[in-house]
Amino acid sequence: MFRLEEEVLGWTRRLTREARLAPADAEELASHLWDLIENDLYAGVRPEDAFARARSRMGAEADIAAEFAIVYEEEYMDFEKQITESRDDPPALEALYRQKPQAFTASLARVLERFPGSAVLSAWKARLSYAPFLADRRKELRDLLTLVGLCLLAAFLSKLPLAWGHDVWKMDLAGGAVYPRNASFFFMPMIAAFYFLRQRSRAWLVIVAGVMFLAAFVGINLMPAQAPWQTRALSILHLPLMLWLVVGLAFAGNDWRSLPVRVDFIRFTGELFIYTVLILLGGGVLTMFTLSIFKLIGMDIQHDYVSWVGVVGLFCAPIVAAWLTEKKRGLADNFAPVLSYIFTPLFLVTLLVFLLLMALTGRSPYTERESLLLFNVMLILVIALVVFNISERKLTPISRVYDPLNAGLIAAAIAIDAIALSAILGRLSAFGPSPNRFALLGENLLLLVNLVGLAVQYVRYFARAAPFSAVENWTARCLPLYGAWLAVVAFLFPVLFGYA
Amino acid sequence: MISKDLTAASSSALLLSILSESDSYGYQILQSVREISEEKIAWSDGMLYPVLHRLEARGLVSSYWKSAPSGRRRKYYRLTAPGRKALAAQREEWMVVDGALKKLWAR
Repeated sequence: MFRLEEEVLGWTRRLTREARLAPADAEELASHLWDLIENDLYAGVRPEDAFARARSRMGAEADIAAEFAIVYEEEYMDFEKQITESRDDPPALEALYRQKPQAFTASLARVLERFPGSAVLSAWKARLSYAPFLADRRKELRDLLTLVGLCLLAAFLSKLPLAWGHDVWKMDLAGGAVYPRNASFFFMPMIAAFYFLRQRSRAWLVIVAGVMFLAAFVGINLMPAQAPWQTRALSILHLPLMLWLVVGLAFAGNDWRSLPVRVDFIRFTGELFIYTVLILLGGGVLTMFTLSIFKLIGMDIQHDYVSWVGVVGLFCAPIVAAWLTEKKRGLADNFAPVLSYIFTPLFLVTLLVFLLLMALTGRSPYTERESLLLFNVMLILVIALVVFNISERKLTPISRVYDPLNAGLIAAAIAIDAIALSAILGRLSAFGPSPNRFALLGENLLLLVNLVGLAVQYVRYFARAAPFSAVENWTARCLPLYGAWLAVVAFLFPVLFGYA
Repeated sequence: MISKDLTAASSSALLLSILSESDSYGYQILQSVREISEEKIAWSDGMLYPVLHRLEARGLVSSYWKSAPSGRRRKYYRLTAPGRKALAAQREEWMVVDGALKKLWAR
């Protein structure tokens, strides 16, 4: 029995193996062979005869091989010649590499033999033949194992409140709000530990961070509270932000005083946030899918699934995100600056329109407590945008365009902050002191310091009185101030205001 | 039948001319060559491809893969702008040869 397809396949294989044709070229020839065969079959020729005729029309395989060998050699020589000619022209070399990466790698060795002194070509060789050192691979493995261990710990801790009968579903302030109060402790110490384990930090730093976490944990859980639960709500809001700055201490390690490292931490925060959102989005899709397929077989697992897989996943996501951010650091472009480039102009337009409408209509949004908090979040976002914009500033034209945009954003934010401050002062004098009003007052004053500082540094930079790094480092300088104030609101306010 | 040397010499002009009409793949190109030369120009089918690849390496044609209805992939060739220029130059040369021979044989 004659098997046509196998015969053609065998013929193609001989072209790649014996005649050493590139697979794509063999495929092209095989396609031609099929056209010839099909033509004959259509005319009623027997398959074996059609195959024999097509084969002889294609020519002897040895001839094809010889002819293609010449073509390959020509292409090869041609490529080698191009590399040789561009050996002192890095951009041209890069273009050649992008055109045919494999041929480039193959030709490079031969060109380098003829020009062993070429530094550019040597650099290319080092780049292309780079294999991570064994120590790096060990470090990667150790990071991965650390991650798995920390995630298991997070899973264990996040389900521990169950032992005392605290369910994740009970979130109201009067009922203790165990999960909202403790959420930070289910992942932030793990991220801090991840950094402490990665870099050799001084023991006292580890102890300070550990004590801070422990004290915060004991403090927030033993803190009494009573209606209307204002101080508890404030503590729950401010504690995670304060603890995040403790994570920053772990991130910076021995360099905790260094301003560039602190800027790095702000950038890390942006990246981590984006990775976490992406992971949680993926988790959300997986959850929906899982719940639906279980519903298909008549099982409703929503409650158990969310309180186990959902909760554990939620707290592991930022830890995995920290590991991912660290893994990608220096390899890929950061997400946060790219997003901030996109959103800076949009944000600026929004703020300007908002300010304009507020001035025209004479309406102030600062009568509601929620709106005051919302606007603080917005001001923090503005500062984050500016930090991301300037931290990726590489003196490219696009960065220059963003300098005035940043300045405009800062100016608009200062205007909004000023309005917020006047509203808070108005409420303080009209309704008397309350924990919320004092917390907002402190925060808006701090944000004002940060924003005005940024503006001053920018003006100095535009006047060529200060280097750009002064702008960059200003927010980093403010971080300890934020930390101190957040700690005051989280722990001192309840005491000062009688736990109300 | 046309001699081997002349076949080789004329191959690039023939291929570029066929591709100047429309994009095409190897089998179809050969069919056109056979048809237009009334079977007098006959290449061994396998030998067409090295020629095409050389034209591609010189930048006169570019190629892309396209799936036929049968599901098999075919590599199509397309004339590039430099290819069009090269064809015009070659056409001039062949015209000169053609005109000279015609004049000589008319005497």
